[in-house]
Amino acid sequence: MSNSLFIDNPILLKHIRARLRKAQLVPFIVVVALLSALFCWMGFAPLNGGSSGYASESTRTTAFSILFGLQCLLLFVLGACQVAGSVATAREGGQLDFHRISPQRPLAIAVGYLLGAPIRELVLFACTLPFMLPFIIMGNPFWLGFGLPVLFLAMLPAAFFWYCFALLLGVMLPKPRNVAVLVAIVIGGAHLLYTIPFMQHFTIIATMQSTISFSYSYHTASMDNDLLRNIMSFFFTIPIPYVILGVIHQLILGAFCLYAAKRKLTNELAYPFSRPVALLFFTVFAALLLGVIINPTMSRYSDSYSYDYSGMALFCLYGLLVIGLILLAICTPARSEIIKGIRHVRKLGRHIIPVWDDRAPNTIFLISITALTALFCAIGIAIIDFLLNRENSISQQILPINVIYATVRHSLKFEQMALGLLVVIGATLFFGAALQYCQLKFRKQGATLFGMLLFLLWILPILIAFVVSIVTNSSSNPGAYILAISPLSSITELLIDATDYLHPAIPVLAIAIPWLSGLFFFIMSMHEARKLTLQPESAPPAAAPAGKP
Amino acid sequence: MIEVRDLRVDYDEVCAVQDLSFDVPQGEIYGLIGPNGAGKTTTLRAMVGLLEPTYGTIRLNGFDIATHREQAVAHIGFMPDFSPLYEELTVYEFLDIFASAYKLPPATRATEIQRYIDLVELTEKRDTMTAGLSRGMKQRLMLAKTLLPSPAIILLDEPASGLDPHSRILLKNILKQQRADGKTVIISSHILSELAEFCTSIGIMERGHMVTSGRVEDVGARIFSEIRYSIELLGDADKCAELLAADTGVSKLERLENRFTFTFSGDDTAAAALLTQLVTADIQVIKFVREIETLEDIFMQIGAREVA
Repeated sequence: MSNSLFIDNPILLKHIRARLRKAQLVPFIVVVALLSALFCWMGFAPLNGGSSGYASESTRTTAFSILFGLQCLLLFVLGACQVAGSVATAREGGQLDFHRISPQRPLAIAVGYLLGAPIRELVLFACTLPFMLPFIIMGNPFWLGFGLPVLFLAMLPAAFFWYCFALLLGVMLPKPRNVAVLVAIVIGGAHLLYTIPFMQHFTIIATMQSTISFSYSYHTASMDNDLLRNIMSFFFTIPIPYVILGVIHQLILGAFCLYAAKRKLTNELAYPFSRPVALLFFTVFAALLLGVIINPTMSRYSDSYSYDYSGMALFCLYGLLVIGLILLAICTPARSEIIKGIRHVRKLGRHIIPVWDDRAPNTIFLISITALTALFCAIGIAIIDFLLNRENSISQQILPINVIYATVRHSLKFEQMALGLLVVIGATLFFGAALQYCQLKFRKQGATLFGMLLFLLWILPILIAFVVSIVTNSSSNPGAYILAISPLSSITELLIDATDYLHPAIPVLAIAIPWLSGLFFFIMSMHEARKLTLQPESAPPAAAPAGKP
Repeated sequence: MIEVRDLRVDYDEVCAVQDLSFDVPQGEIYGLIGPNGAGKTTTLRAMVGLLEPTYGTIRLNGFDIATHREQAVAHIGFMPDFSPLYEELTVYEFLDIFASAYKLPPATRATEIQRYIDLVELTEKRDTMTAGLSRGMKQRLMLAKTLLPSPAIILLDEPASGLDPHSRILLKNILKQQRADGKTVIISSHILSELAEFCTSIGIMERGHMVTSGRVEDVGARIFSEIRYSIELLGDADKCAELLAADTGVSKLERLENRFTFTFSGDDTAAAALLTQLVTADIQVIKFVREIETLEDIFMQIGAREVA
């Protein structure tokens, strides 16, 4: 088993041969070595103004950080781009089909791309390692002794996650040529947004910051709370070492990406997730998301922890909404797929496609996703409300450290969160039902028309409200009513603005529109699906024109 | 060896292959014939598991491709109608990748690869990057890749497209040798002359349906209930014309000086008796030939029926 996975893996072999040819590798090594040497020299240059005649501690830390940044660029961004680009090119060119029909297992194909495609970047990464030696030998920056092993250990699962993610995009996206660029944008974006809760567990920057802070506290002997504060993160308010929590996130979500990629490597036309696995993914993702966002953060202005309740509620509602919509988009079958499913079951003497089959209309799946969204959002806002109302009594029970809470009481109310929850449920229902209806009713134009519908109901109101707010410039902003039309803005509107100041019509509008439109499309999509199921088998359509299947 | 039952494949809402059933016994070279868009490539891609059928079963060497995919594909060599090579590898490296994919024993791998490189006459190109090969060479390399794991079933989709005459002869000889080795070959093409010389069985597809399938002579016999003969003589042909006209099995008699062509409804024994009768009557027969129907004849005959 391990033999075909790692040692005699043909795709790994292919990449080693293709990407490690001397003529192509040597120039890259020279460039990387020169850059690394430059940064190394920067840290130890004798004319850099340090008190000992060498570079100062801060300069040395900067030099080390730049070198580390180069390593991250090679390992994460360029490596992941290669994974996505390589598999996408093989898929487009038809070479992947050869591997699909060989006795190779899909997992072996996936491992081949995960380890093989970034092989040159891994070699270049290895070339930068000797330039870390001066920093280690000299013991500068001071935190290196503790931090380096932690950092390098943290890089492995992070690379695993991003490579699996890139592999999934490479086997999923319809236009593979741009997939490497997209992967670069996503990874770059994630690292730029590393301060956002949850997102920070997928970037190495936050780990590095945590490590530096911890080492600084350790060396300056300002232990106790500081030490724990810098090394600990919180999962459902339970303190867990930051690095470990990040590794857990990366491994779990990386494994889901790998599973989905494996399915696509087996069959080009398969959905990345089967419906039960999609629901499992949603549950796991929701648990991770809620666990992380319900998280006390250190106040910048006092030696105390505080909760950003509005931020938590927004992350909870938007995060679960977005992941639910992505899963609905992935698992909603096109009309032609449903017809295939109907023909298949008819051939077997049945009349209805099993509801968990990939080719069944998404009705039950939509209900399940909507129910899970409602459940996890409700859990999220219940915990937030619990913390909000009992912050003083709870603090001593759950946190092992001396916590002083911010004295300012938040104005967020349970009613606001509940209204937001209703909007999220309506929006999820609308999205899944409208997508299935458009696919069933309008055939190949369905996706385009659904996109148009989303634009009209979810994007355009925000743009109009923006323009109206500029044009009217009055205290009674009519744009608020328009914003309520789109769930993308109405959730924020309901949570951020105090309910007392909102016109009563706004919550009504915000909830009624997605719910009514959602129920309308739900009934219509069920009707269309039923029509299709009852429709007798017609004469086969004309064969494809010459030259095409 | 190969068993296809009630196969249906849909692309979107277009039915590319409908209710297709056929068998190919071991050791046959089966020609899948049909015009562009008949469903040949779709059928082959479904057979190797690259397309999921709407319904139907495909059994290769006893293994159902849907339920025992890994075992089924282990017996297949598939060559598509284009050559998706890894252009950053050499000829040898490319074959080595697939030797590894098909789990050839490492000890014999190099020898086997070299054997197939020699077989497709790419010996001098062994260390050339595949990007630098001509189209015909790429096709030959694909053929070597297909044959390398010594599969029991070989599926070739338009293998001769892009091949020069020499390479076509090479392909023909290789396929004949594969048949002699007991391999089963399915070869799809719309160029009938490609298949005529070595196919032992044929299946003719039209608009996603299998119109007819079986051994060439059986299909021919099914299509043509009467057989055409041609005779050439020396000397006076009138006597011959009288004798032929008098035979009840002869019809559609045509004469061009001392050459005759006619349709004969009798079997081989009756044909031999007719020849004996001519020779006994002192007619100097220099040619008595049964005109074997070609794949073109069969295909055109079926095409005419389908259109009608």
